[in-house]
Amino acid sequence: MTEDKPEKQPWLKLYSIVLIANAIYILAFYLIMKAF
Amino acid sequence: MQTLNWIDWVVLIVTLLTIVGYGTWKTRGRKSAQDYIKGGNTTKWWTIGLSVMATQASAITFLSTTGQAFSDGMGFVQFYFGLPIAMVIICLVFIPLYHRLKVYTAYEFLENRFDLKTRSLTAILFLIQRGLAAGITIFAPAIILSVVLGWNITYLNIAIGVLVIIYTVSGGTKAVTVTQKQQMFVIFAGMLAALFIILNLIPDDVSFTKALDIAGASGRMEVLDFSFDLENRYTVWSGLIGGTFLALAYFGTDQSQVQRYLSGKSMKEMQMGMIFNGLLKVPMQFFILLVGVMVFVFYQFNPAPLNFIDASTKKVLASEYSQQYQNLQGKQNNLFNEKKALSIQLSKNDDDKLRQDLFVLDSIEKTHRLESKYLIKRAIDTAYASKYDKLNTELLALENNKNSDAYKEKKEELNTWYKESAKDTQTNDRDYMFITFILKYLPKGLIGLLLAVILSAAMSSTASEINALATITSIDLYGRNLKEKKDEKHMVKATKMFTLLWGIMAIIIACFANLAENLIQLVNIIGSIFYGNVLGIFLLAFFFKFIKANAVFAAALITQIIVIIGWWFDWMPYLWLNLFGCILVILIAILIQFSQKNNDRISA
Repeated sequence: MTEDKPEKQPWLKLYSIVLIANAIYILAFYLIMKAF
Repeated sequence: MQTLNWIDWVVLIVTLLTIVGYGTWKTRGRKSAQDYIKGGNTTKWWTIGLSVMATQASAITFLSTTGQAFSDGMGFVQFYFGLPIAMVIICLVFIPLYHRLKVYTAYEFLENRFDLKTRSLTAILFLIQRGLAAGITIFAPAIILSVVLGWNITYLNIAIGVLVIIYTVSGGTKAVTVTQKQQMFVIFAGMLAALFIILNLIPDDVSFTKALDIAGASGRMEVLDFSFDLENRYTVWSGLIGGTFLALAYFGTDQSQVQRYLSGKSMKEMQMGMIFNGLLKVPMQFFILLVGVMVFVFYQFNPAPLNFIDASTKKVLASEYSQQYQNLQGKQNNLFNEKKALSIQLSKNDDDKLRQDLFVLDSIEKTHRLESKYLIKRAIDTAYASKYDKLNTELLALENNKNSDAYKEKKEELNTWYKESAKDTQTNDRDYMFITFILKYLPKGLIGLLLAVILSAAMSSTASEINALATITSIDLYGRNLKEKKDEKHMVKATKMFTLLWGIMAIIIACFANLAENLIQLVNIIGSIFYGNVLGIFLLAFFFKFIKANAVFAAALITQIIVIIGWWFDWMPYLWLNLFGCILVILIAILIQFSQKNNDRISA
């Protein structure tokens, strides 16, 4: 097992999707909280 | 105490045995270490995602989270806000590295980056905390089911443990993954069916949105808390910051999770599996909490016991406090009738005054519930009762001077002692609310399915845990310290043996465990004590190239001692221990590294 120089990892669209989805969840919870 | 109908027994036994039988048969005869430990690297992304979710969702998740929603509302979901962020970091940093180095365990990487003693230290920290957690994972549902169904807890601990041991020893990682897929199907089906039935049990003229309105009026829909209060366990900030660190540590460095995605077919499959988890976890937790909130709404129209632990109620009713308890029950009955009338009115009219009245009644009910715990505690613990009476006498002696500091302090002390009654395992009924509801109100057959949900959840988490414990013992400790390299067959045999031993150990811990204040918190507390430190070591390995092995090893030992002291003296809410431990180990390692460099320069 050797540690050579790691390749630079690309930013995938999926990462943006999961972070945006998390923000949407929080926003949705905020709206639910305000509504009820 | 309730006995199960034969239909429920059939559903329960058939469901569990089918999963165990299928898992064992499907994954039999694994010969190579790669096959047994990494599942042959054939797992698809969606299986990885389900497996990771099944590992995290133990029986405690379903019993305790629903109870938490019933008593305190939806705020617990904030705990998971950091998880999707952690998933992205794991995909970008952890997975590519583990995949490139072709490691079997997360700690193999640490030897490559630092040295053998750092690898062994983190492996041992893992074995301690995950070994204890595996026992609690079995014990948690066992104690609750034994109390409500009268089952023998030792037999139940053994039954859960043995079922898990059968397929985990036989098929290794692949068996864990294959069974977790089916267990997740049972869990989703059971919880959806439960929600559907609960909504049907709420009066017909109360719509779903009205049910949410009733829950909101009683403060159960307060999902988000934006305050910066450190004393507040669940806030948006503690979820986003503390939760990210906890999830990063759990999914990035805890072998019970790392092993799930290391079985992936390719790096892409591993990353997609984690993103799948990041997308579904928050809504899944919200859904489980929603089930708990709907049980709360159900009890606005149906009488609920003052305390959900029947055995404790029986004890207090047989004690000298029986009359007081019955009076309290009488008050609670009147309160229930008022609440029911208000809830029906609120379901027909949109009136803020009704909401305020409902909130006031809910606050009164909370005082009734606390008083019931106080009476039960007095009935079961004479030392508690004596201390309370002594404090009360001291307070009465100071009553002539109510404005004095001494009076205020004594009153505060008495109040704290009164609330202390809610922490006893025989009074704290939070984990019993959902199961009591299931047994009393769900139809035959569905009770068996929900019990299968609870036991499946326990089994899926335990399987991942003992699978990981055995792998760490076999690869990081046993295999690494062998004088001569052994063949694959030998390593598979050794890992099987360690799986069996850890399974037996988990059963033994379960048989000797004592209930803590709240089960889900106990597991999280154990995790928080160790995770921050281990995560810090990994972050040092990834991002601080100038830190060398000796500095990180000394820093890890010092940090672990400080974190345990911090937890013992309650320096901060336990969730923050993750962040604290992580930052502390990084700072101490940097300090030691610099001081070593200075020493080297001076001696040169």
